[in-house]
Amino acid sequence: MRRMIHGDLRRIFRKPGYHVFAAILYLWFLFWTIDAEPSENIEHIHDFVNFVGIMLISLPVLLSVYGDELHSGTMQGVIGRGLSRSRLILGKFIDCACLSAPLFFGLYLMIHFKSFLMELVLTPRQYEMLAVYLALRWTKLLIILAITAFFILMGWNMVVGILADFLLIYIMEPVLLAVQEETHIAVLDVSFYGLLDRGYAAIEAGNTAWQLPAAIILYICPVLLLTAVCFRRKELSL
Amino acid sequence: MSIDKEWGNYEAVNQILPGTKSSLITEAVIQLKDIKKRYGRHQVLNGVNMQVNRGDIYGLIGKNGAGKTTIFKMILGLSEMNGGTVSITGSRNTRELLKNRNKIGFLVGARFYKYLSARENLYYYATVKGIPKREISREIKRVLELVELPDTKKPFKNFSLGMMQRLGIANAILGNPEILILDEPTNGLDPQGIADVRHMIKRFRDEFNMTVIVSSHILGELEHTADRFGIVNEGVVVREITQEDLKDKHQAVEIVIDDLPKARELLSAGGVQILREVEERSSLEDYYFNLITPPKEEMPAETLKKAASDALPEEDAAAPAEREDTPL
Repeated sequence: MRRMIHGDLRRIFRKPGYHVFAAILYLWFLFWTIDAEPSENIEHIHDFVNFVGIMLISLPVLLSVYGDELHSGTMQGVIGRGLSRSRLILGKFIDCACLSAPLFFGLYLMIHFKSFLMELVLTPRQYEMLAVYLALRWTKLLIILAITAFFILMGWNMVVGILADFLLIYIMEPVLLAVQEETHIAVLDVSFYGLLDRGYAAIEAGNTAWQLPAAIILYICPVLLLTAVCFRRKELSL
Repeated sequence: MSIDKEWGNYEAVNQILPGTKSSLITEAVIQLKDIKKRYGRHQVLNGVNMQVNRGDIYGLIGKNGAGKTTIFKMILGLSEMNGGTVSITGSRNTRELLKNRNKIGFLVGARFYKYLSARENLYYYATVKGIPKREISREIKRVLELVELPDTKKPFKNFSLGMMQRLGIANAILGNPEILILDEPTNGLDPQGIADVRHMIKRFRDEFNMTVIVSSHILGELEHTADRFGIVNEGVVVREITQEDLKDKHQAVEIVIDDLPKARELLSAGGVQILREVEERSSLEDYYFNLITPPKEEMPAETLKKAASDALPEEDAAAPAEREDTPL
């Protein structure tokens, strides 16, 4: 598995598409309006990460890690060489984590760069909380990618995957919120969206964010396990 | 004493007498026992039993849809079996089977990243295969030279069919695997390319001690290359024969027919097993058939000729050619 991850990362970092998306992400951020009220700067950055950043990071990762495999059939090449399917799924998930982390880190550097360019004054605490926020959005993205991977591998179709990605990023959270408000059942609170938001609030208040490990244990692990079980029976073409 | 325990001696014998090991000791490197596979209601494999011995060039012959590729999928773990066992170099459980799959190199279609060059694609597979980093570059150079593929920066998507096939073979032999699986390696190649592939297959066995399993729906492609044949028909290896058997005991004819379904029906009624069914037509009307039948003692030549003649177009009354007269 380690060898596959190494091979994957090496080839994806050589892929122009990954860097093109990164460039779009950072350029977009440079032109994103954050110079309204100084007190609203942080909120503008959060908005960018939520509405633009996550999607622009998830797309190149999904296309590189899974899209290329579906298109070229190289996954069969790896399985045929003796890598078990469950290790392959875990390996691909680690690929996603390794590819998305530098993009989030780059975004954090861009925040510093933009602050410098625009002479915005952010306190060290604000920078710290921005780092925490980005780390939690990264976790959110990993959960989304794990769920999306399930649909891609089961349907063997990237369109299904991108659709699932879109729904999980933009649609699911407001739907859960509406259901929660309507029914007073805490569906949003127990979802990974709710857990991560409450985790952020806990860190901001100086408390222990138990919600973070809970989100990982409740969402990432079962989804990976389910994918591994279902994918074991998946018929792969030659 | 088992072969596994005798491994050291076995290697020693091989060093003294290269290329003769299969005649000295028979060691099964791939064994399929009663493999069954079903897709929905369609039974694709009906209990395949097959054994490939170390040093063999094993030709898997059968018409399209006979089950050749499904057999390869079972060996490579790309499809779940509905019954039976696969053993690779004596593996006794799933863990050993997975581990031993790394001893296989295979060509099954062009499984490469479109935007990478030949070298970069091979680098990826070399990494996955666990070839030490310091040796990868040298190994890539070696396999590219073996298959005579230029080391260009051209991305894979711009490769010709022949180049794709050569890259596929280069990838299959990366790291000098013990077992080589080639699924229809001459598909889409020109006559020179086909001759080159045949030459390569022999070379891989003779020079690099690989055991080769190669499939084709055309018997003629393999008859001078393989030394054992598994004849696949309707999901079963109906017969395993050696090259000598093929020459001495079996009969083969090539005929031209114009009514495909009728010919199938007539030949089947006559007990003739169709091994080759070339889909390209020589004209709008004609199909070429290569047939191989059960041994002479089981099917007299007259019966074969009668069945084949019945399938011929009426205007073509000539008797079908015997195999010796017809280069396949």
